[in-house]
Amino acid sequence: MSKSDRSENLISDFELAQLVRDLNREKMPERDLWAGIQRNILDHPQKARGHDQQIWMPYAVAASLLIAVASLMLNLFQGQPTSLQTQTAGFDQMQQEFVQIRNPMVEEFNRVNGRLDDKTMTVLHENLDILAQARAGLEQQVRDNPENQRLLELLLKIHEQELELLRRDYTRPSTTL
Amino acid sequence: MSAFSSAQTDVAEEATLIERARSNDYAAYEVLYRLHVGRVFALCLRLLNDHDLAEDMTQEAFIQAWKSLAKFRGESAFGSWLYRIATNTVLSHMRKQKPFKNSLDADEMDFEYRETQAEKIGLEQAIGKLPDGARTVFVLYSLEGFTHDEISRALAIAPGSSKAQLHRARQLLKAQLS
Repeated sequence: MSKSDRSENLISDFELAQLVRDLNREKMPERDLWAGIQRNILDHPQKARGHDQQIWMPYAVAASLLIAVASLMLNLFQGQPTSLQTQTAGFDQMQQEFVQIRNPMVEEFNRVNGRLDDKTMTVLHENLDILAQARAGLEQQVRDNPENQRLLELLLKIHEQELELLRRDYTRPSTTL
Repeated sequence: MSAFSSAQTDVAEEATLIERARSNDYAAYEVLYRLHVGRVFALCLRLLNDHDLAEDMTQEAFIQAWKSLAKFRGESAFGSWLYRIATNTVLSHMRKQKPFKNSLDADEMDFEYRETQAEKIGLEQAIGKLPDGARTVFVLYSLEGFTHDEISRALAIAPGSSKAQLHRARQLLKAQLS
């Protein structure tokens, strides 16, 4: 058969396009592949939403600061003086306990998250720094107003928040980041 | 078509499934798998022309998609994103197996033409009988909507070669289907 004979008998481009359009785009495999997929992905859990954390973290910190400032203002007007000696001793003890708990957690944070990329680590450290700055400001207020019980309570709450953040979100492996 | 894939799952529902999967909800990812496995497997099978290998590549594509799920931003449909992953998985495998064949051998075309004259076959079978290069380009261009530039990048061939392979595929298909 010559080439010209062949081309006369061929289906047209339009007919071929129509066949392509009508082609079933789905075919099911004979075996169920899910079991194998599941086995594999169980070993590769999704990492927590670092991107989302980067979005909400500054807002969370800002909210904490707002609460702290509001409470501080409230205290300046309503604070009731107590024994200076007792308050100073309470503050020192609180600081000591806080440092004893916090420092190992920060070490753990650096150890666990050491493999994270530089950008993520920078964000995490920035958030920790913001918290530390807020705490340092409040500690100064307590030193300046050692008789103010409410300030001490507020500082205690900030300590708890910082430790909770370190414990819950920052000292787990990268699956939570 | 599977019961899952025929189900009318709207975009919002799929987005919810993706979000759940990102939170390590494996059941949600299984639903996504059931929704798309038919299309992914068909793509793999047409590119590879090997049933067992197509199943392996389908599995691999869903595993790769899981690993990349955090990168899916929803800028395209999840299906489109998944099919691209499947395509890349198959092409990567093909590249490891043998260099992509660019030649347009006229004798091979004549031989294939004579072979197919004995019986009239359907398009699916005809695609399966195409030479590897022509079949790959035809599936990517005509079924998956790749451009010649995209194909040339994916297969590391010149855009002109992609066009020539497509022309060759069409001629062979017409011959087989006439």
